[in-house]
Amino acid sequence: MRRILLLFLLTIALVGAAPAQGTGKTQSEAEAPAQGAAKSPSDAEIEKEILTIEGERDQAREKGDNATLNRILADDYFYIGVRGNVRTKANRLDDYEAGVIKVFSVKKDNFMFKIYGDTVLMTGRETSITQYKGKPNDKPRQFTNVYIKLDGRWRLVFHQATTIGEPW
Amino acid sequence: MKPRWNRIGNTVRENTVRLNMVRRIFLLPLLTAALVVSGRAQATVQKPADAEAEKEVLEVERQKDQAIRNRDMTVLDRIYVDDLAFANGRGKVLTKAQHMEEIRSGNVKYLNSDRSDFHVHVYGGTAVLMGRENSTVEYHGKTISSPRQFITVYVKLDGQWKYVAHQVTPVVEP
Repeated sequence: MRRILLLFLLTIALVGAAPAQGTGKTQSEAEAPAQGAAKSPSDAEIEKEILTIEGERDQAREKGDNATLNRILADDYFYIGVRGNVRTKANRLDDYEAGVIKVFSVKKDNFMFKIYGDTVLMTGRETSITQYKGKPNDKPRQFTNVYIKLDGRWRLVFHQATTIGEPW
Repeated sequence: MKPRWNRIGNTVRENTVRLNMVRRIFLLPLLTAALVVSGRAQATVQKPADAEAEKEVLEVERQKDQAIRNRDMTVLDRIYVDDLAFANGRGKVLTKAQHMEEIRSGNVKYLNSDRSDFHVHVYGGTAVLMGRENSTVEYHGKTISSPRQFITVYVKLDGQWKYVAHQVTPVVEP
């Protein structure tokens, strides 16, 4: 009986010590204050951080670097493409892996940022040359990115693009 | 054929008791682990606060839709933030004033409301609402009923969910 009780307690201790599934946090990380909590970065600093991440993401898109994309995209990332197609993070990474999506060059401008604490809305225009399922795309499109600070890191949770000027 | 455990000289009854004990020893930690993991998974999927936030956001979205159909500018003015970023189905970015003027003037008229597939992702005081729209809209005299995919970002400001950004993309593939 004592053995049963000991085993029971040991199991609880072991499971409790394991990293939280889905949150990607260990207990110590969960208890630690969020990065940036000590000093509040200015909006200009946040914009700079986001632009750096966007630069890394664009480079990863061109190279098909899924490790970097995996780091930047949140686990519950959603993407709405110019065709109105909805893709999850897994779908998107598969698309890069399989060569369904190819990014030949990246060009983006007209950035606007709106910062609400740990949420950043970034809008802009993109004229990158891409190919999706064999169809090339160099049409200008308007995009919205939503970045959220999760566990002290900015992660892209949402991206949507709309072709500019096409009748609908 | 005698069971293996008879080799150590136990009776069948003793062996049955021992087997039950062994089963319990193995089952208990498995059950405990399953319960702990299941509890965590539920907490990860949706916290009660997120469920409440989702309900609130969907209610504000309903009020906003009704206000657009009724051209109730007072309600829209209350729900939209002043620096709203609204990208329509042509990829054109409108300010709050421009978007409200399109509704007030009748350049954008909702003839019916057909919205579905809502997904709300809540991150503290931010909610990203994604959905599909098949509503029939008259846009500058042209009737549009083709499906569109949209997102709306709500942020809780001074205790109220505010509509801060919206984008629409026409669906051109299934």
